[in-house]
Amino acid sequence: MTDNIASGGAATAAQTARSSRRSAPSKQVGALSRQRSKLYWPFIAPALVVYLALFFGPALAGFWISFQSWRGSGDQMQFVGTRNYVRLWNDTAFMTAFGNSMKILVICGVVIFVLAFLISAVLREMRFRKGLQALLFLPYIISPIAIGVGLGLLLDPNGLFNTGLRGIGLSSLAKPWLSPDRLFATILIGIVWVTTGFYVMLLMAGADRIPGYFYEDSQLAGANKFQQWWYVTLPLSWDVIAISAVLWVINSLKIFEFVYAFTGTTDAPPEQARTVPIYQFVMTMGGRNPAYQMGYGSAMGVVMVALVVVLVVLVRRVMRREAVTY
Amino acid sequence: MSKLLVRTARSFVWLWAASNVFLFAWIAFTSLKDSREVFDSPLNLPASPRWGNYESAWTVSQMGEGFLNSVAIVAAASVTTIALAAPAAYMLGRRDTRTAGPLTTFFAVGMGIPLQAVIIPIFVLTQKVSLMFSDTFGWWDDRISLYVIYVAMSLPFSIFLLTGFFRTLPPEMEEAAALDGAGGLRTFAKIMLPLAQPGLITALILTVVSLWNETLLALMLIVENDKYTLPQALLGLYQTMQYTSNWGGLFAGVVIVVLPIIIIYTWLGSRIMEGMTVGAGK
Repeated sequence: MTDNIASGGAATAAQTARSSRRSAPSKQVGALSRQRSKLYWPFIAPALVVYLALFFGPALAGFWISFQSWRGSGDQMQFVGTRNYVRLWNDTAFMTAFGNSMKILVICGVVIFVLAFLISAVLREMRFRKGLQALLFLPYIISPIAIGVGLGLLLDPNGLFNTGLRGIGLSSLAKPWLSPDRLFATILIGIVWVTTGFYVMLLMAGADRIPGYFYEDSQLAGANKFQQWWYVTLPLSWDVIAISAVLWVINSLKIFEFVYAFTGTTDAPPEQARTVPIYQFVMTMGGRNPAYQMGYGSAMGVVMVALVVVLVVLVRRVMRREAVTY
Repeated sequence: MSKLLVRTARSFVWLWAASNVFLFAWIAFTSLKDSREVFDSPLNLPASPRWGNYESAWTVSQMGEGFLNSVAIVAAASVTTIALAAPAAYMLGRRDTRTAGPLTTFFAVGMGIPLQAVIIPIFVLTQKVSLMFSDTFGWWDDRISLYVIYVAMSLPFSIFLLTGFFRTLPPEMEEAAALDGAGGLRTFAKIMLPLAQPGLITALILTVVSLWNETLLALMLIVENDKYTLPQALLGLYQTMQYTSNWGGLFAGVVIVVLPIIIIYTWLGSRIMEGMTVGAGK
């Protein structure tokens, strides 16, 4: 059905083809590989240069800058050792932001994966499954700024949501959803709403690769739906689940636009609702009078990379299982 | 018991999908209302559609300029990304040299590096470039900086996606082309690229979608109003809306941002979804 599903088989086929080619090298095929090796670097170099100069290089430079006190170009860099990191540790505003990022990672993560498991399990056998899946996924590719603006009116104290709640006699539930101390909870719900569709899609793609006879066999053995999911779907799509978890770690920590959009009308989101990317933006280039604390901001970037590395290693370790081949 | 759970879960899925449809419809209708209608009758159809909202969003609020800027930057950056990624991915995917494996990994590492680790050096670098060009040639456009950076940040995923794709293509065609005496460049351009077309299109669409929504780099690198990208222009409109409370006009702006993506999605949605699951399938 999908490229990636086909690719599994095709990749092995390509591999066997490649090894058979190696075992019987003809003169012409030798010419092919000679031709290719002449072009190897010219083909790779442009992408590699751009990637090195404008992505990987800057990442290394950021690591260096994180040990400096620096207000950007025109200012003299001053080496301060680990002082920026010590400052992060003692900065309550950063700790709040860090805690919020972790809340997104953990709370949204758990809710999203529980929902995604549940939905992908029932969606398999629903009518209009393709259409439903597409609708759930849609918010994920819409501009977070546009969604933020839309939700801004929907959740306005006198907006449709509260009006609706009052209309059906639930006025007690009508809340100022965007007030500073409730904003972050609203954002958490918003992230779940936007993101779940993507993970439903990933889990469905994983489950789709499982051959149907496993389900038939388990049905003959008298397994109910839950047992089928537990004994067939879960173990056989474990790889995909593990990779989805890694993707969530990477994607959740860098959420910026979605939070920013909720408060795009003011200079900066209230402290209670900031995440690390937002706080970094506030301390460097953001706002009406940017603070340009480049060394301090870079230290936050380094902390994020370290966090990604640690969490990804952790997730992989925890989720490592004997590979189930089928 | 189990049946009840399944039924509840199914209704939940339906409810969710329906509320998504409802939300988008609500946004579309709101964009055609005047400010009083927006709050007085939030659920009604617009009494008489006010297309003027779009006109004012497009011209007065500079969404039009933003739209053109976004189209130009996103199109140029996406095409450049694929043009750089395709040859690299072809070599990485189809040759087993000693460097191919490590290089593939090296590019893939870029997908795990959050933008936050890169933006500060990039900000300073682009400032310097802009200053240098202004000094020597008297001219620089920050949109060029944004375009170049967009290419760099889109490369890792595109190369990852395309390397996997090139790997799946059958080797016979290439060998046949070599037997017929086609050079390496010719084989790539005439045989492999057409074969890889579905993968190239998928990579292109995914790049377009993610760059269309990108806001952080644009906020950092672009300062002047007339050079704003579309999300920036929408944020600007959101800000002025605080004084005018012209919600209809603001929502017209939202529709202008969202509609192109929805059109692409209804047209090529399955491809987008397939492309985005590729990483997990490996």
